[in-house]
Amino acid sequence: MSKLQLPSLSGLGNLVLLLIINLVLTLAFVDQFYNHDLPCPLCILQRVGFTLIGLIFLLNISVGAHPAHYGFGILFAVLGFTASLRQVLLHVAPTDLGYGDTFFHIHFYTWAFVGFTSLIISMAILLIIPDGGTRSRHWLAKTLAGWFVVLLIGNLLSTLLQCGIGPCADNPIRYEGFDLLRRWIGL
Amino acid sequence: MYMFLPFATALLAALFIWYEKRAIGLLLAVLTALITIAWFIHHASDTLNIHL
Repeated sequence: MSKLQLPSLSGLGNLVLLLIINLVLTLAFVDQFYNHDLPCPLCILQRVGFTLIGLIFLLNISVGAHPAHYGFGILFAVLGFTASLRQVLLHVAPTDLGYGDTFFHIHFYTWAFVGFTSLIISMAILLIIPDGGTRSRHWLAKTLAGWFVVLLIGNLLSTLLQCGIGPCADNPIRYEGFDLLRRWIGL
Repeated sequence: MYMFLPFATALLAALFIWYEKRAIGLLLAVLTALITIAWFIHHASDTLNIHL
């Protein structure tokens, strides 16, 4: 995509879907820090699922689309879908209040389930439409890629501070890794 | 194995992908998925309270 040309439909699709992944991961961070809602282990796995799919769109933007990329993307989406479905089923009983905050009266893991399903459908559509070139070094593509990498670094640091050097607590209430770090440096 | 490990491998994958190293980027993405599956098995050990 040059500065004067519009991207192809498949190129635009990849950019829009990377934007959506970035928005989803940003919203998760906003909920974590603004509402003090710590992500559970399954929630973190769902974030990894969105990140993995984001890597596929980044790959298409960086080196061009290939059917194998979408194949991997669909497999990664099934992985995230499984984690979110597991969490939905954990809290499906009528008396269960669910885990964490809601967004438009629906829990985040249910939104994640909808998101992964939509991404599977989107990638299937991108496989069907002709590949008009997805490779791009446009400023918009670079901005989305940079935003995605910043979110990845943020998730890496956040998980380190929350879980430390081991598995996360099933119902996290504090940043255990941060407490461990404070003990190590004697604060 | 650490919970942050999938994000670390995904970050490496993103950097390799951006510098157009497709094969190693994909390999690291698959490694990330495998670590995620291992963590999923670790955390999804108890039975669900539903009857299908």
